[in-house]
Amino acid sequence: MSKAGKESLYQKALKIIMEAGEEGILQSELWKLLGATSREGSRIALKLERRGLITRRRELHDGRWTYRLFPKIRKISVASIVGCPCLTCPDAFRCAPGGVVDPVYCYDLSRWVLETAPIEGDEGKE
Amino acid sequence: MIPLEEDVLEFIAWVIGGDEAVRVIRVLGEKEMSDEEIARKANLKEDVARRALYNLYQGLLVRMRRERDEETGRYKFFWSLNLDQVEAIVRDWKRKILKKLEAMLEHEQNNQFFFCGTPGCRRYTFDEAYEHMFRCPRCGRPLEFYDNSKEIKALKAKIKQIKAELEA
Repeated sequence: MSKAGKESLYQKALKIIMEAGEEGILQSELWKLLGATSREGSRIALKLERRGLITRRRELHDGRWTYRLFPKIRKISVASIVGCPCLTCPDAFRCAPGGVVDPVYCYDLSRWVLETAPIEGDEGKE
Repeated sequence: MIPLEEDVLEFIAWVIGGDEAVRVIRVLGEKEMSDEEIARKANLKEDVARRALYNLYQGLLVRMRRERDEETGRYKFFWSLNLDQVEAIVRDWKRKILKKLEAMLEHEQNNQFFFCGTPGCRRYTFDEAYEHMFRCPRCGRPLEFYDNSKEIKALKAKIKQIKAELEA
């Protein structure tokens, strides 16, 4: 398999494990979902664990030892803060409510709020 | 391999170090790399790549290890992604923005505003407008009562959105 193909397999595996959440997923189920061989499946799981992205826990399933895989990372969303002027503002370090630079008078911040706030009935605007 | 939140990583890198940092992050993985290798792969000058790496290191997005070169006696630096901190960095940003938005909401709710209607001029609170005899100090037009219910609604919605992401 090509390097790019392998990478996308890792991505897919990680996605499946992350979707499984706290319940985790059996390694044997994972490789079936991926359409990979058991050997590939265990290699992927091992590699993801080494990269600190998942944890593997040994489990007896149908009389055979296998691993249950749990995600170590959570999907992080930045949707609510994308484009916020504070993140790149040169005055950010001295900006605080009641401070030298007060956010309540910040034109850029209030414009950003007006432009990106998910106001009901206006959800698609963002 | 960068995990699912590739766009999140790139966003964080961009905030911390601009476009160069994004290019560095794209080539950087969990495996350690020297700065020369990163610069070559990212097609950046070595000093630019080093500056971006240093910014990312200060922003906690990359890890650094140094090793002394036996022959030259100089330090060699090795860099790798520090994914453990991604969540903490984003949460910290969200909390700071949330604090500002809450202060803004309080300000909007506790004050009456007056505005001249000229684009580029700002709104004035009652006290400020009174001080200026209800004339805009910038353009000279009369200051009239401004209904800020749109701002309050937007702020409430934004605060709710950020809080929901923080609690997720």
